[in-house]
Amino acid sequence: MTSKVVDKNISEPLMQYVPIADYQRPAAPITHNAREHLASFRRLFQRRKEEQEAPLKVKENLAAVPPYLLDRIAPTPDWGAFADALRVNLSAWLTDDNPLEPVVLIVGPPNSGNKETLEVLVEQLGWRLLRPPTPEQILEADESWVAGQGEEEKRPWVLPALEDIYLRHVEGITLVRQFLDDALSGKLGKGIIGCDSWAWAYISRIWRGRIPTTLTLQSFDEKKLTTHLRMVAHVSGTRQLLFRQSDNGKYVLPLEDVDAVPGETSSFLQILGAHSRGIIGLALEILRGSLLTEPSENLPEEDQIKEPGLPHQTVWVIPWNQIEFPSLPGDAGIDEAFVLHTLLVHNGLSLELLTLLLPLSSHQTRETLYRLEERGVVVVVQNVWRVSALGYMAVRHFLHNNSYLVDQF
Amino acid sequence: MNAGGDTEILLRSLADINVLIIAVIVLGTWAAIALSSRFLIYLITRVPGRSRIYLQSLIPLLRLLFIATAVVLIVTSVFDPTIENIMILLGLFGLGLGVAFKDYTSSLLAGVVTLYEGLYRPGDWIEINGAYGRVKAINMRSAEIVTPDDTVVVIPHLKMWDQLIFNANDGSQNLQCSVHFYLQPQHDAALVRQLLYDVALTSIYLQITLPINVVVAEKPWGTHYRLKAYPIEPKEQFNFTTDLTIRGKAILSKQGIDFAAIPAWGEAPQ
Repeated sequence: MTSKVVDKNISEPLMQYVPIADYQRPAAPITHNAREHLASFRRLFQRRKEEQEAPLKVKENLAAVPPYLLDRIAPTPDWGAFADALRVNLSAWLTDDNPLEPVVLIVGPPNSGNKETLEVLVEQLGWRLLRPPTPEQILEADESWVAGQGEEEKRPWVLPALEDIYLRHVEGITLVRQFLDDALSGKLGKGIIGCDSWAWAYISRIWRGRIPTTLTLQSFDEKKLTTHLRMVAHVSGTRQLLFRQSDNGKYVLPLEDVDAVPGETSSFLQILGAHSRGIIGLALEILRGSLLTEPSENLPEEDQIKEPGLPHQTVWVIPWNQIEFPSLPGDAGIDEAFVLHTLLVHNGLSLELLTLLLPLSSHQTRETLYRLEERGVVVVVQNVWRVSALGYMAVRHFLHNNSYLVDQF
Repeated sequence: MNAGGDTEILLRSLADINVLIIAVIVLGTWAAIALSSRFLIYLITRVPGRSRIYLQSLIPLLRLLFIATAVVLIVTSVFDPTIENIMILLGLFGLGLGVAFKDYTSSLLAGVVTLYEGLYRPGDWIEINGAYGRVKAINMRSAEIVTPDDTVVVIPHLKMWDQLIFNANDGSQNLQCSVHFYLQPQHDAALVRQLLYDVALTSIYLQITLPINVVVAEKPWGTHYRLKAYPIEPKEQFNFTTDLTIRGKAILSKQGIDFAAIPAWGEAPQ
C-alpha cells in the first residue's frame, strides 16, 4: 500500500516520484559507450560487423521463452504499486482540502506507465476520472467538455493523459490552453493531470502560465531493475530462475542465495537501464525480447505449479550487442520525421487524425506508416498508430539529430 | 649587376627543375582535392543535419589547403627559397597576372578572403545581385548557388568587393522566413495576430525553440501582417512558407476575415 517497496541493499525506494529536474538518467558502462560510438562511426562507412567469438550457447540452439514464463519473468508492471508510491509522495497535498496549488502535474515518458498509474490512482482515491473529449470537441474548443462530466460535483479529479485533449492544429490548441488556465486557477477544483513527456514538451511551449508542481517517476537504473526482476522472479511455488548471458555464461541477475563471483556478473542490466533511459516499461519490453531458454528446460505450465521443488531454471539472455532493435530506413527523411514526431507528441494517433495534422497527402502518410511498420518502428493497435517500444530509442535519436523537439528524458 | 646575378641564380635553379616531381605534386593535389571532396560529400549524406553544415564548409577549406601546400612544394622544388628569389617571383607573378588577368586574380584573392572571413559557406542561403539560393560550392574563382528553381548561378568572388551580400542563415540552421498576409482593415487585429501566431506554432516545419513574431502595419489599403518564424531545416523554407500561407488563409477565411485585393486596373482598394 505504500511506496516503501524498498530494496534491502539500497536506501532509495524502488518507486519514487521526483521533480522532473531531479530525474537521473542511468549511465551505461564506459566501455559500452565507447563501443557504441565506435559502432556509429563504423556505420558511416557501412562496414560489416566483426565476427563474434564462439558463444557459450548458440542462439539457434535456444528456444523462445514461452509466453506464460515470459509473463512471469518480465510481466507488465503492477501499476497499483506505482499508484501507491505516488499517493505516498503526494500524501500531504492529498490530505490538504485547500492546497496552495490546486493541480499537480505528473509527467512520464512513453512506456513509463504514467497514464495507467493515474487510472489506478483515480480508482484508489475515488476521484472523478475526466474522460478525454472527442477530436471534434477539441477542434471546436468545446469548453463544455469538462462541465459535461459533473463539474458541479466539486469532487477532485484526475485527467490521466493531457495529450488526449489537444491536437497540433491551429484549432486544436485552444481547448488545452483553456483547460490549463482553468485548472491552474483553481476554477476546476483540486486535480491531478498526467501527461506524456513528449506532449508536455510541446504543450509547455504553446501554453504560457505558471507551471504547477511537476513530478515524474524516478528512473530505473541497474539496481532498481535488479530489485524489480528479483521480486518478480521469486514467485513462490515455482522454480527459481537463473539469468545468464548466452555468450559467456555471466550472471545477468545473480540469485541472492548464490555467491556472486566478482567478474562473473554481466553488465547487461546496467546497459539496459541506460539504453532505456530509465524507463521501466521500455526496459522490460527489451528484456522480454532478449530472453531464450533451452527447449529441454521448458516444462508445461501445469508442471511448473505441481513441482515446486525443482532446481533452478536457466534463462539465457542474448548479449546486448546481438539484440536486434528496429531501425529507421537509411534514407529516412522529412516524411518519416513528420510522422514519427507527430505520433510522439500525441502519444499515438489514428491515420485519419495523422492525415489531418500533417502537410502530407493521405497516400504519403499511409505509405510512410507502412514503411515504418515493416521495420518495426511503429505499431498499430486498435486503429491507433504509435512508435513501438523497441523502436523508440532509434526514433528519439533520429529526431534529436535532426533538431526536432524532444522530451526531457 | 646584382639583378643580373639573381637572374643567373634563378635560371640556374630552373635548370634543375624536376618535371616529374612537379607532375606528381600536381596530380597528387588534384587527387587529394577530388578524394576529400567526394569523401566529405559522402559523409554529408550520412550525418545528421546539424553536422552537415560543418562538413560542407570543410570542402573549400581543404581545397585551399591542398593548393597552398602544392604551391609551396612546387616553388621550393623549382627555386631556392631565398628572400631574393621569392621577391623576384612575386614581382613577376604580380606583374603578369595583375595586368593580364586582373579580374581573375581579384576573384582568386576574394575567394581566399571569403574563406578566411566566412562570408558564406556551402549550405548557406545567400542573395547577391538579386540571385537567391543555397551555396552549392565555393570554388577558387567563384561560388555556385542553386536557386529555388533549381538553376545554378555562378557568382565570381570579386563581387564581394563591391556588392551587398545577404546571408540568411550565416552558417547555422537558423533561417528566418516571412509570410505576408494582406487583409481588409475592418477586423480584430489582436485576434488575427493570435491566429497567425498559432498557425506558425502548429506547423510541423517549425523550429519551435526559436521565436515566432507577427508584425502588424496599417497601410492605406488595409492591414499588412508579417508572420516570421524559423523552419527546422533551412532547405524546407519554401515548404514552410507554403504551409503557413495555406493554413493561415484557411483559418482567416473561416473566421470571416476578408483579404485585401488590388483591383484589376491597379488602384488600391478604398
